[in-house]
Amino acid sequence: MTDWGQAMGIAGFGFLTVFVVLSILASVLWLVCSAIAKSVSKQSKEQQVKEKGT
Amino acid sequence: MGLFEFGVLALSWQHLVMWLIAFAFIYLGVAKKMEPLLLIPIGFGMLLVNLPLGGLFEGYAEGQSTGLLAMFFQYVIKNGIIPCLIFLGLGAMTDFGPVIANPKTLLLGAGAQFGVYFVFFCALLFGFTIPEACSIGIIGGADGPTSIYLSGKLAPHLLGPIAVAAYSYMALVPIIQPPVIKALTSKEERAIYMKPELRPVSKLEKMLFPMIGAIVIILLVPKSAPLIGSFMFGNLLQVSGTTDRLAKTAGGSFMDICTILLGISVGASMPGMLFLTPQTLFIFFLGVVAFAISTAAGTLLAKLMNVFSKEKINPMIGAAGVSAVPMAARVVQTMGQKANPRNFLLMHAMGPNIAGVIGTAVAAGVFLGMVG
Repeated sequence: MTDWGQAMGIAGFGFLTVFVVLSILASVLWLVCSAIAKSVSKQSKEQQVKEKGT
Repeated sequence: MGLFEFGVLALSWQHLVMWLIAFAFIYLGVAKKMEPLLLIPIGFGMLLVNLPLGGLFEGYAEGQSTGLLAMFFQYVIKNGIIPCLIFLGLGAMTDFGPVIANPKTLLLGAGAQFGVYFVFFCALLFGFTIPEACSIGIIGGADGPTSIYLSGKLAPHLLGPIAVAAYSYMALVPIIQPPVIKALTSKEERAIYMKPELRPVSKLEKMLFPMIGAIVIILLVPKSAPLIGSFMFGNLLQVSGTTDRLAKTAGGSFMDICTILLGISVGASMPGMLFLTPQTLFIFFLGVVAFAISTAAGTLLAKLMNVFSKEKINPMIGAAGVSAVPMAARVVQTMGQKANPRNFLLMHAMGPNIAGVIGTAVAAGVFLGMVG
């Protein structure tokens, strides 16, 4: 006999987990990429200021 | 001296039906060029094992394999070695750039896993047990190695039909997906224009992704470690820039060896007596339902994202959230160009496509964590 309660748990928890895990990955990825982009633009601005100074 | 036996005298109608299926696979691979790297080895393996008294799959059912292909199947397929090594090769061949440039495509990869859970329930209704239903449902992820890995762990007796269903439907993506996409989108939606170029992704971002991906996913779903770990490791070899030799081997000859072993062994796991059963037909039926539902869920999620987003995305790219890399993305590209010749959706569709591979591996890890 199928345990439908267990089946509901597996499907509900499973689909939700896939969504949550990939959402967390997307958020972490976005944060890291934003931090890298900021640091790169800051570096290039400093470079430009240095170049103007010389 | 033993009595010599002619194989021809042991032929049965099941062998002949399996020959026809084997010829169909080889025909599709050769003449139609549908996934030839898989369909031809699978077809030939199927033919070999259905030549009676050859003994290639001897001993497998008793758990003491002595036949050549039975040994391959038992020691490298069923225990999950080859699927993980194929993931290593896939990682070395995959460009995560589209996912990194647009991380929200990861959600489309998650949405397209809906078919997995829908068919999990359908399989239970057809009388399969929970571990069997998990293994059948994962066909909806359209990812052959993951389907084999999971069914090897949860329902090894169904591995043959599940593997064949997964790979056959992957080859049939251009036939299965378009009617589902068309039914769920209007012509205007299919014509939504997306700028062809994505933002450039730096080498640092590409190098960090496999490490971030492995840490985040494996910490949350530990049982996905063999698949995700191999996938991310293969990718790191490719993007590090200092392990070109290893990346080339992992994505080249090594991958080819694994594919040969996988294809011929999976084909050989289908002797007619075991394969031609109502259970196998149910698995094939549920497999196509899983594919169609996953395609539909990805497309509908993309439409839902359009409701909340300022910049509209073409909803067809959601359908690429089923893995089947890169076939599903190519289908979207072709349909997109038909609807609007200015559209070039391939790179946009590759994001959900790669996210689908990750999503299916995570779904398999969750199943293993709860049922395994």
